[in-house]
Amino acid sequence: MRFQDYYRVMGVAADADAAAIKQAYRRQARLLHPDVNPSADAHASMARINEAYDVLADPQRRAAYDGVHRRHRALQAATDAGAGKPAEPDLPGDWQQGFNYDGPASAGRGGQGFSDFFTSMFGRAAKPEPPDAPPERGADEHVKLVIAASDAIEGAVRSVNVRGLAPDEQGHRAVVMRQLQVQIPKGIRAGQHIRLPAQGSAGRGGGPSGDLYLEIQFKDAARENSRDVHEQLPLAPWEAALGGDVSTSTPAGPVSVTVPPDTPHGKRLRLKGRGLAGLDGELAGDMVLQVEVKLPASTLPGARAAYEVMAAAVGRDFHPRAGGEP
Amino acid sequence: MKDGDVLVGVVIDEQTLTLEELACACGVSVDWLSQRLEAGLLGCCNGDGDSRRFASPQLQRACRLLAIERDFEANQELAALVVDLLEEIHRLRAGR
Repeated sequence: MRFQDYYRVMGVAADADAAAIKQAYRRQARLLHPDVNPSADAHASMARINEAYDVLADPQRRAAYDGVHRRHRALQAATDAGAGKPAEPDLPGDWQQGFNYDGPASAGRGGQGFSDFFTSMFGRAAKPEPPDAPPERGADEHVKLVIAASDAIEGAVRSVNVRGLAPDEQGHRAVVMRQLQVQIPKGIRAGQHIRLPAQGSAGRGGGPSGDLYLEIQFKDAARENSRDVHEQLPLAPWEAALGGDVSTSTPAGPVSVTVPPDTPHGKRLRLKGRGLAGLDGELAGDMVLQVEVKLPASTLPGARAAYEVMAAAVGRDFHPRAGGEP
Repeated sequence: MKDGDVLVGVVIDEQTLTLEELACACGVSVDWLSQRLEAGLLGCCNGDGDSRRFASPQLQRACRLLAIERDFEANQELAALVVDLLEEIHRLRAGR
């Protein structure tokens, strides 16, 4: 378990007063809040800030934490002096010696994403579970799952790392990470949630586990609010030049697409209503296919001869670097 | 469940949530949700009274309201205003 330096996280000195801590928290929250910060680790950063504020803004928790913080700083100073360079020491086995916190247990401001350091100090894991505790349902957990648009079109199985609380071998509740394999249903849209019953945190006193909610996001953020689906449509040179019907998959199933003759590389073909299904009466989106002309390698049997025949037949009139078509 | 088993969940919009399920999912009390429903700061996808049902948009909005109120110590009206603006930005970016 790693020590969490909440003063460093918050960017304040160890003797900062309550007003300075509150000001620092608000400044950091405005910068890091996942609703305004698009970076992938905004949720984790916000959870760290929330965790730090949860401890430093509560006088009872802060007083208890300060004892551990002072011990850790002394240990770090000794480690740095011995190693000759700064290092982050692991917590010693007796790190809780002198730690005195008797306040209410906390699941944290967010309830999720808090470190096992916090959970051990201030969470319900720190309190032994009384034998006659009534059954209590475990907390629901939320995970954002980023998928490719093609996963939504064809369906897929994806791995999800889930963080939750579960009893350890000694019966204390501890933070555990699990990896689940989850079926992504065809046609799912960004912003939709998949609910997995009983895959959240474990219950207490024999109570049921909470549920797990997966919030779907697309890798391409520009497309995440749209029901349109964008995919490449690979074509052979003769399919692009001569035109014809080719088959491709859409969220609604396979379709035949008519490629017009002389379709250039990069051209977009829009299939109306073949994108992701609409909700609450909304129309379905479109499938947008971008043509990608794939050249056969000249090493393929017959390909070199065919290229040579084409070069002899049209090479005199075809000038790709001068605008392409004659 | 064995390691490697593939879990098949339910898409919330196909099977909507009750008020109690929404409260559990957000980690708030039913009263917290009821206050915001009565104030018109949160809607439902169908039903009324005790039979109200909630889908992904309402789950996302409730979680956002909670996060804004909690993280910025905002009152519920101010949090709803921020969430309205965020939703409007999403709609504009999506071209809808």
